[in-house]
Amino acid sequence: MVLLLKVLNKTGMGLRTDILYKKINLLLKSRLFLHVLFWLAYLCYFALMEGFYKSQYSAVLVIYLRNLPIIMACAYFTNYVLVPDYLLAKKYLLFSLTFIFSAVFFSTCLKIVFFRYLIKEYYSAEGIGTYYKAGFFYLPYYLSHLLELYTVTFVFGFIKTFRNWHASQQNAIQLKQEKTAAELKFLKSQLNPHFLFNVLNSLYALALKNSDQTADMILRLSSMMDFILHESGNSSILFSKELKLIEDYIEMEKLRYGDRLQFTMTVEGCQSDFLIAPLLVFPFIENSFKHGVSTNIDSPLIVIHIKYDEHVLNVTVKNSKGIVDPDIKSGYNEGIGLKNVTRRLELTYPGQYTLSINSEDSLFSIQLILRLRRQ
Amino acid sequence: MKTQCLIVDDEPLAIEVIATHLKNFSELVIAGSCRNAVEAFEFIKKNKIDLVFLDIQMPEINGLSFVKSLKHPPKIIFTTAYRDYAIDGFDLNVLDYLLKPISLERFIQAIDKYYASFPVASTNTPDILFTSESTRPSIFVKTERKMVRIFLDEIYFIESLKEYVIIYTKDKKVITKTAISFLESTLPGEQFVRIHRSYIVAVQKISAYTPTSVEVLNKELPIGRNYKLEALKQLTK
Repeated sequence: MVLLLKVLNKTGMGLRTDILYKKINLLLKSRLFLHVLFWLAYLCYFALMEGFYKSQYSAVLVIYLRNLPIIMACAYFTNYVLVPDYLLAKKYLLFSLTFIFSAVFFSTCLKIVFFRYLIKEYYSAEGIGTYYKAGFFYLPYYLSHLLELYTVTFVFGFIKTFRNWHASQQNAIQLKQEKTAAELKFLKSQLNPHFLFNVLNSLYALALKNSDQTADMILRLSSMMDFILHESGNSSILFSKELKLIEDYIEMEKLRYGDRLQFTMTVEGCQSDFLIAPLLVFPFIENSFKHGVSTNIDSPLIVIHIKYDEHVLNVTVKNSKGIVDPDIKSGYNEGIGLKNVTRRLELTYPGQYTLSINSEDSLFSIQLILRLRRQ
Repeated sequence: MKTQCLIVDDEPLAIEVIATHLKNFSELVIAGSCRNAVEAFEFIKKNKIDLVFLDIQMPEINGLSFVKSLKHPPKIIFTTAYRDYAIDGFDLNVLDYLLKPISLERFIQAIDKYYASFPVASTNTPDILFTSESTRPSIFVKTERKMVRIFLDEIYFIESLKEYVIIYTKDKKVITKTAISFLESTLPGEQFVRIHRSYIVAVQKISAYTPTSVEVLNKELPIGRNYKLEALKQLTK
């Protein structure tokens, strides 16, 4: 198919085949399509095999089509309810009981359908006779239904597990890459000329006038460097460390901008420490200073609220907006970037967070609600 | 006519650094300081400014756009933490490009460039001129485009900053472009002693000393290992 498209492409139907190619690609990736494909393959395989053997395609197809809903129900129920909710959740007893019950149920269903609608053209009268004679509860026939059901279910489950495993593998690789990129970017953005040298210049000013603040600021800078070098590489850290980083950073920025800044920060319920992936909260604070303070000519406003309650971390950052001079190169303004953090949230805490970004005329606000698992 | 300077930076401490360095130059006066380009624009309109120390990264209008917006810009020295705006700076024909943190040595160089930017036929005058008066010996030192007289008995100590020296008298500092070794060899040896790679002190002005340091003008200056024997011999003479 792809080859054909490529040929078509070369022969000048450029644009249209291009769109077609994309659509086919999209279709191949869609889940519904894959499921339809699976069941079609199943039908074709058995109907053709048995049909060929008995050379009665239509009759065989009718039998398989009649059985299909039951087999599908069994495959979906087992692979989408039983396995993930009970087996993978380690509820083994519940799993075994439900499994046995559902196996009996589905094979009975199959048996009923089979028992009622035996096709005369297909089976010999003799065969039908023996089947009915054996009675509804004849075990070997029951087992053959069971086998049919669970072969398909097993193959279905195998494909599903393989795909999941592959996806999570890909996810893990991506997560690792994104994390490395984030760390690198953090290192770059924090140790880049702008922040570090400006802070050093401020320290130099303090030292020149023998200020008492000098020593404290050196310690804060040192503590930030320590975080960057030793903590930011871990997959999770104590939140108190991230808070310390935020505090140190804020003190540095306060020192730089002096009285110009209107700033409030409240922290609630973080007395008991908890684990969290590093550098998920800090970028929001950093962002507020970058976009709020460094670009604002009057007295910029920053309000930060951090709250931890019942394993839910709630971070709100609001800052007044300034005007960004288009002349300034992006190096400073981008920083780690909200995009990067969103991506890392998606990879580390999928489905556990909500992030709302609100950009009004003069106010920019971000709210992150993160549900952390019990440790 | 003293040079009127304006400092523009959005960080107060960065303004302080420039202001502190400027105090070393008697001919340079701080006319004002601004926290952003808009303020600076107004200030330049109302006042006659000769030299601007300008930060690049500032809110709303950055230093580069600011310079472009001026019809008759004064002399500009950029001060920035960014290493990569230098080329833009030279395109705008600014005097110098100072990287934060700004050291005094580097600052002096920039001021030198400011003075060198004037087409004055003073290039022939030497940096230091010894007078022949014998009653009260003095030297003329070229500083900020002038030859300034300093009496030798007023000098407390001399500090070297690479290609410059700062001559400290009781209440002023004079910066000039010369090598400390040249001064060491030309100043009278019985009055002055080299105690360190960077320091010459006037023996008469020393208020106290230890084997490793001397105290002069309320400052403690170190005695260098290589100069120790010679210095102590001079001091205890």
